[in-house]
Amino acid sequence: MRGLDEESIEELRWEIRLHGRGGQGVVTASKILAESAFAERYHAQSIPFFGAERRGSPVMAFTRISEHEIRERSQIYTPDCVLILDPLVMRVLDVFNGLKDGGGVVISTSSRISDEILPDISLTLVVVDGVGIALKKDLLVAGNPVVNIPVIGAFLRVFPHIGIETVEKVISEKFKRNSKRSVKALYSAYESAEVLKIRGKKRAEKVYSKKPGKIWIPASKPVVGVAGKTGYWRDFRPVINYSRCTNCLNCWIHCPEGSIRRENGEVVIDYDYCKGCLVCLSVCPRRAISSEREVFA
Amino acid sequence: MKLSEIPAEEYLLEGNSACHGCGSSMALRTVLKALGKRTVLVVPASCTSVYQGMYPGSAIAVPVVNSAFACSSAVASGLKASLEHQGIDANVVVWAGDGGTYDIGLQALSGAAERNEDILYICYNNEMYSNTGIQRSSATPFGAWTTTTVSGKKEHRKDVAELMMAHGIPYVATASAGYLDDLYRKVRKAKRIEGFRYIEILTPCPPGWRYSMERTVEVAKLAVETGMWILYEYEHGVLRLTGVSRAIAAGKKKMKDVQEYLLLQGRFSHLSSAEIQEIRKYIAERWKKFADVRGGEHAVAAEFFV
Repeated sequence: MRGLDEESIEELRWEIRLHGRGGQGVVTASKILAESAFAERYHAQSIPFFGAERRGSPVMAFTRISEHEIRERSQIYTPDCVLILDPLVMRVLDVFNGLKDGGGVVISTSSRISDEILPDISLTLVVVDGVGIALKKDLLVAGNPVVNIPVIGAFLRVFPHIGIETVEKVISEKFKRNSKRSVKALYSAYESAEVLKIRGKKRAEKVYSKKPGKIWIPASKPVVGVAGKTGYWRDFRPVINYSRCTNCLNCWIHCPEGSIRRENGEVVIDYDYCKGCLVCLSVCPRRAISSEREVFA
Repeated sequence: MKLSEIPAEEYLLEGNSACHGCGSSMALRTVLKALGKRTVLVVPASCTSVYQGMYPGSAIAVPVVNSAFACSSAVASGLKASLEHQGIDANVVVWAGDGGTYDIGLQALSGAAERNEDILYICYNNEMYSNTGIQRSSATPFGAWTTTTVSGKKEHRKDVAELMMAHGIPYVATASAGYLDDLYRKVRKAKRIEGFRYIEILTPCPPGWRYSMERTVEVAKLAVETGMWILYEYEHGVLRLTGVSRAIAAGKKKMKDVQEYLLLQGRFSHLSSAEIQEIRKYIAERWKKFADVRGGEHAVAAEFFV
């Protein structure tokens, strides 16, 4: 029995949780990882989080990689590694929930990660500018930068069991004609990713307590922001140049979100909820609206 | 109509979970502005039933009743009868997708139309089941890719607006998310008419139609400009083209080639030239039919049939 125990400790078994937003390729990334691990003769599993997914809304996916057969079919609650395709998800979700001490965190961001947002455990942190690489390598789907390939590239730095050539092969087979840009992005991310060792004091315990309330009539009440602050879904920010604006209200009527308001004879964008679809930019007859890349510090 | 005449009050609240550049939330915003506060919405399963939010919040600032797919018209009929009995004057409006209208909700819709119930039925048509991940519906046009028509749909779409005209209801109209002022005017008009009214709105869907999210308005406008979608009003037995469709029929505006509309969308990217020719033929036949139906009024110039 002793021997068996030792064997099970020695065996390679990684549970990876991927966080991002719809359209960034979270589920695809999970599949690519699983397929690559499979090509490296491991057992692998890829599970998307089931729910009403929308392009732009928070999305989760799970990957298990093991030397032995995987019998679980559940979501991953205590991951060895968390891949965060979009740092903004951290504001709405506890992405580090259940992360094991000594685990890995891969974040796609262009800014520096402050220690305060990280959990109080020892970690290997990998930072990569996924959006920057996606923009540079022209990796866009429907106008959104696709950061999944750069994040996989960065992940390979802390996960030596999958060769980057294997991933390259999987990507080439998966995307066929369009795979060249993805492969370039993969290598670019692998080379430019920054690996940091972070030593935490102890595991932070969080208790979520909710007061039970009395509900007499189960009817929903109108509220602004039922899906949270949807401004976090934005990749590009529309900016109005008021010197060109003639207040024709084309942007106001066409905004799908209703986050352009008429205030004192001017149109004002509510950046708390603007999802950054840039419809306003396309309907502006005077070209008074421009787009800027969104950078959250 | 000036855009500043449209009220500033918002009934579709921001911070809902609709996709970037959603055509249906764009249209719903305008529709609710036209309907005003005294409105009850009946929403069957659809994208709207998701982006309206989860309990205890709602993104829609008027009462909403969620119904099963098949029975939205029946629920609305009952609501209207109940409100009438209580002496409450309110618009009862069904807001359903093309799946809930063309396929699953069709029998209840036909029943309510035949009974001439005093409700307004609005179908927002994105030509597929977008909510469940892009499956074909009977509103999907010929050649379009969906996850269940991987090599392109082999059949032309059916036309429920024409079916509603055949029911002989007081008011039928089509609109497009590209022309929201036109939509606003039509909803205002429908609001004043008594009896069963049907409005169908073409609402492009960026993830389903595979185009860049900021081009929703452009795509919706092109659908009308290329003749893929015809804007009209049918009022007490008289059919009248409106907006750009009317200008094209009167020869004031040249109809664009449909290729311009198809090329923008990934769902049509696999089409062969023979298939594009088939779509051109379909458009020409449809225009001819509409010219005939209208009994020669604003006769369509011959060059638009070729």
